[in-house]
Amino acid sequence: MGGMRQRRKPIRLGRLLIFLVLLAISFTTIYPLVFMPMSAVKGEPEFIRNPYGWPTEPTFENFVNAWRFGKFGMYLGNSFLVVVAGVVLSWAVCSMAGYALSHLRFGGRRLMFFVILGTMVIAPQVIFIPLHSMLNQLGLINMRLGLVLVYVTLAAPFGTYLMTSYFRGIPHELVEAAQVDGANHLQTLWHVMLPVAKPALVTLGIFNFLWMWNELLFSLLILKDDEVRTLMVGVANLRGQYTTNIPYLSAGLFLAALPVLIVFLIFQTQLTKGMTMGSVK
Amino acid sequence: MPEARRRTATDGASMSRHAAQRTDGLAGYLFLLPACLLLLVFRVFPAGSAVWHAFTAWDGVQAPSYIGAANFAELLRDKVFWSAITNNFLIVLTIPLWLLVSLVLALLIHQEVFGWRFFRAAFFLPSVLSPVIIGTLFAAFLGPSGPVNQVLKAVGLRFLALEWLGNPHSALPTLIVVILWGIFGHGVIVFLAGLAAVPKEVFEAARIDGATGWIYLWRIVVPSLRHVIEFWGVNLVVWSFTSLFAFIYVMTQGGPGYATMLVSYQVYQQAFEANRMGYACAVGTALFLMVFGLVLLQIRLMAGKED
Repeated sequence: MGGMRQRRKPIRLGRLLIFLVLLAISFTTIYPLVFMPMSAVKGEPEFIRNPYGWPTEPTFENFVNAWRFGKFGMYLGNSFLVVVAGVVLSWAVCSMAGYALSHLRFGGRRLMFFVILGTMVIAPQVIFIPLHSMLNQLGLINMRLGLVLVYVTLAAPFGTYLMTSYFRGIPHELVEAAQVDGANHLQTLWHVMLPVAKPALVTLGIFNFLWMWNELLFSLLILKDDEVRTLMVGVANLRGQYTTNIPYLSAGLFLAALPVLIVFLIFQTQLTKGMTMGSVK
Repeated sequence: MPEARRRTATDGASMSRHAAQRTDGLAGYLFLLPACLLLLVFRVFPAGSAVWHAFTAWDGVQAPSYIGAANFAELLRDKVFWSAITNNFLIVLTIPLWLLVSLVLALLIHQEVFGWRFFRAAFFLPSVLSPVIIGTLFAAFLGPSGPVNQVLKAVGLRFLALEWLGNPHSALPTLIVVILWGIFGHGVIVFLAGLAAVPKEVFEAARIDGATGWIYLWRIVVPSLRHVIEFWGVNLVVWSFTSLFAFIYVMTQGGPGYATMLVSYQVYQQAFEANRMGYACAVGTALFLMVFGLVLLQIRLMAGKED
């Protein structure tokens, strides 16, 4: 008991120290995100005079320029098209596969689960050259559809894994009851399984939204024309050209990060779930 | 397991049960068809194609011509490839440090100090940002006359005001720090999920026994989280081999010289800057061989405990 009392004080001091360490590190992660919008509303002359302080003559000129001359409005639209299509198609493809792998009975089911998961050994970075020439032959280069199909493919193994795991937790009686009522499997999936699996769908959707929004390599290779280019390629092209004009660069970066930040603020819990999937059993 | 759960809806319905099994079969394959078709066309086929093209000379325009193992022979002599491999392995060598940073921060947050929810969110924040945004931002911050150097000069550390990404000695370490900034929060989240699954008594018992500091970390925490640490460690190694392209593309393009060249970036460079598609496929195949076993391990850790 005496030992406990003796330790009390150092623990409190320790807690303060822990708090300060955590505070310092969180400063490094939050500061860039404060710096971006703050610099973005400064004109270049003001930024040179006052790079770190609060903006005194806020202007939206950088945003207007990025939107109009930097074509960020157009890129943003392209990114949304690709990502929304990718997320919706992934939902369809992965929940169908997940339903089959969890509640339907057929030969080789277990094997198929591992085959689909096993395609993960093929890293996207290994296949992008043949994939590029194949898309070229299929006429899918410079087509947003081409990028969408590649994204859905890349999302399929993990998405199938996630949906299968979730569906396994849903009692098979629900499926049987629907069958007795005369529903076919597509109807069972749509009317019975998906409503119950909403949390998994949200997790999968957000997870896919994030990486598809952030992806660079395939977008860079598949969508080359300016009219179809996505936002991350637009941002990557800022490099070199504007590295000295930090306010303009900040405006572009902030616009590109904003959708992700909004998703992060609203769906932090679901996002955490998706990003820790498979780690804890 | 679902098989075991499966029961006939009504007594003595074994006939209809047999019929149901047959329809299940067809439906099962049909439901798997979209996923399998996509994976076959856009993932498995290109992988085979990449391996085949690794044995050809191919510029992407004219038909590839078979040249045997010449690309691989060149690979072994290619200084750029070896710098890329060396850099990749140097990065992997720092991964234990990444794990330690995330683990210690997760433990600190797990103590539920004042404001822990805020810290958890703040640490997680960079890992939702695109490497494109992180890289561009830090390239601007770390530029010769960027904010970092201005602050260093202002506080009298002028000698430290390096050309962080432009100097062959500091480029790779700087890159690693930026990457760590981008990923450590994801590790914190993973370890917090792991810690939440460990019974509280384990940690309390250790505390009562007086375990503190490193002993506490090594004897109590690491063994209880072994599975999670393995999982995340393997994930990070695979990720470091395959997913750093965007960082390199926006920050250094492999330079200065080849100081930050990575294998995944060399594949891109050979294919789309040098138009040497066949050779790039050989580099890609080498990359595939490097991560193959690791990804299998990753899948085992992810799904090994299924059923």
